[in-house]
Amino acid sequence: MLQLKEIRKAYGKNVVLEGINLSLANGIYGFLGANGVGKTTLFKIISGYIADYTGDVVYPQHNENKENLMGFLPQNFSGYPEMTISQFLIYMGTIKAKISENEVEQDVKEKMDLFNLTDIKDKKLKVLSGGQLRRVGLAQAFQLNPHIVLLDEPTLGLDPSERIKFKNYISSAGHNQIILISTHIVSDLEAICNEIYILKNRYFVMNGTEESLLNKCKGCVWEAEFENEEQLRQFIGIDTVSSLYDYKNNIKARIISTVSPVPNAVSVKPTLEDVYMMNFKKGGYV
Amino acid sequence: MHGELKKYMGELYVKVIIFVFVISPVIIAVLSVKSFSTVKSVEDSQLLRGTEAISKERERYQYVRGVLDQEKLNEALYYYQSISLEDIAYVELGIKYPGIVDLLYEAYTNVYGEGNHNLYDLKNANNFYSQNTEQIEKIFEQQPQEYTEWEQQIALSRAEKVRAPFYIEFSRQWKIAIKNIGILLLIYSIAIILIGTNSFAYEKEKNMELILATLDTKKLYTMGWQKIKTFLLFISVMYFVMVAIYSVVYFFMTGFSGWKSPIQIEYFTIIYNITFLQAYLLIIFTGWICSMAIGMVIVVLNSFLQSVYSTLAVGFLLIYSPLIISKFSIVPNGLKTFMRLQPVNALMTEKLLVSLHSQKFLSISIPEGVFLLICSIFIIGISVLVVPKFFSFRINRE
Repeated sequence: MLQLKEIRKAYGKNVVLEGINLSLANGIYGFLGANGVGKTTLFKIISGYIADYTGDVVYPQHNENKENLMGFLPQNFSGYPEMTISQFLIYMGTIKAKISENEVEQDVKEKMDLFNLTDIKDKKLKVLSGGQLRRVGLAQAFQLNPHIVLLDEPTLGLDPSERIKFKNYISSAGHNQIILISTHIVSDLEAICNEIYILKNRYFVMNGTEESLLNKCKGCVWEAEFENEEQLRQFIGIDTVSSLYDYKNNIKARIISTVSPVPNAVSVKPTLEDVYMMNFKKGGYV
Repeated sequence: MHGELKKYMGELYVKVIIFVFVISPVIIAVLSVKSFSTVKSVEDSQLLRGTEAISKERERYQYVRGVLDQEKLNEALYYYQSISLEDIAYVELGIKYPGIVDLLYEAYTNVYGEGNHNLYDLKNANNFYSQNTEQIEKIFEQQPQEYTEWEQQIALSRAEKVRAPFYIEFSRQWKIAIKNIGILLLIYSIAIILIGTNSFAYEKEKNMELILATLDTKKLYTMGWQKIKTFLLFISVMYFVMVAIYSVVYFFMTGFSGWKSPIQIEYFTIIYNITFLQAYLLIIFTGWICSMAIGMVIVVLNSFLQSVYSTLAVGFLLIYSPLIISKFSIVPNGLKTFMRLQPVNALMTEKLLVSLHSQKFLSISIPEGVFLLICSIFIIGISVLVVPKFFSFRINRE
């Protein structure tokens, strides 16, 4: 169990996080929030990188020598550019836990297969594409099956098939590990998270299972057709427009509103994206 | 260790440094051999240079080669006095009695002060082997503030124990070799500062500190140890490769003669009983230990500052400033001594050998060069203990 108790972090007078309480068992937890809202700061606190904060972080019990407590994929991961993928993973494995070289090599082989790195294992990190490098970062984060895995924008640069593979993998890994994913790509969290936390203005403004969050938005998402932009603009500033697309020479808009925004509006099933928009984008995409 | 080594080796600037390590000893060896010169003959003042000059000098030494006894010294002295013009006498003696002329000058003329600068008034050279104490006393008279009473007594008693008679043979190449080790050490010290400035800031430079922060202190400690071991191994290998290349190239061209001759035949006032080969090896060993100490000072700074540029700036200042500070006459003696004991002084290879300073260590008086070694080992020891702590502390803190 990973517990965060009354976490507060300020940079000078600017309070970034306040009253953060979490109690996380094995599972996948998504953290949604706009850029600069404090997601990365929260991950840095959990990782131990930031020591100057108030509150407590209680980590799961583990054998310090034999086990790897935590894996972390930071947002700006670059690794050691002069090492090849296999050299890098073996190096990281040996410093993460005091286990035999064979065990490290076995784990590296497994992770390289999992993240589709085996064919390019002898390539240096400095020549990899953004997606390949991200996969190396993911492989190192999951190395030696840590108790906690922190993933900051994990799918940055991954192509659609890699995203699906990634989601499939963490869905299965989430049974035995505490996986925390910070992202603003809402689709990354769909259908895989045990719980989603929405961070805004220092606090968690909303949290719960995907279903409960969607329920909270039930009756707040509408779709309506507009003949032209002029007609649509009447709503700007009053309600949040979640998305727009052309539909049979008209403009179809997805609007977040507690009441029907126009007479012909149809109430639709909310998505996680709508939940996110409800919290962050006053005015929406228009 | 392999992983840590991989980090160093891949960097372009390290590759450039390795190239400089390989090429600089060859260049220095070749240039210094080319700088050898000697006059062709008494009749022909044309200068011979390079290996040709070395062969000529070695050939001339055949006449004086062997034990330098009173008879040989007096024979040379009288030959000198038989020529009325001093300049010509000096050159001719240098040709007929190579090596001896400089020794006579160092032993009998006031090279360290005012007074006689030639050998015409000298009756004989019978007291040649006791002249070192005379000359050392003159040094003390010239620089009364520089040496304590105790240091003077120690130096004089050591000077009296210098073994005599000397065995003389062609050995001028050793003097240049010792000086050149100083130049190589200067290049090497700059190189290890450059390597050291990135050794512990490397993780921060590559944004790896966020990942490493997830490790517990013990693992970061182990990583710090690995980094130190790799750093010391890397710079040591580079050092010995550089010295080996230099020695092989240089002595291949100059020859190895004179290796068992006492160092006094080139440096008359040295107070230690060592041969050229011993002195050369001692200088190499001192250079190695002191360079590691320099490297470790940089690594301490780097593990604490976690920044390449600030380590570079502070490091250069900290490492090289003792060489300058100790030169100012207004600097108090205590501070001067402290500055002389900083590892960078290993660069001054000749100065270390001719030094008349002594230090007390556990109530035993030891030569300052040896004390410099002890200080450097102490710096290495302290740094090895401190660096992993700094490293793990700084990785985990923001």
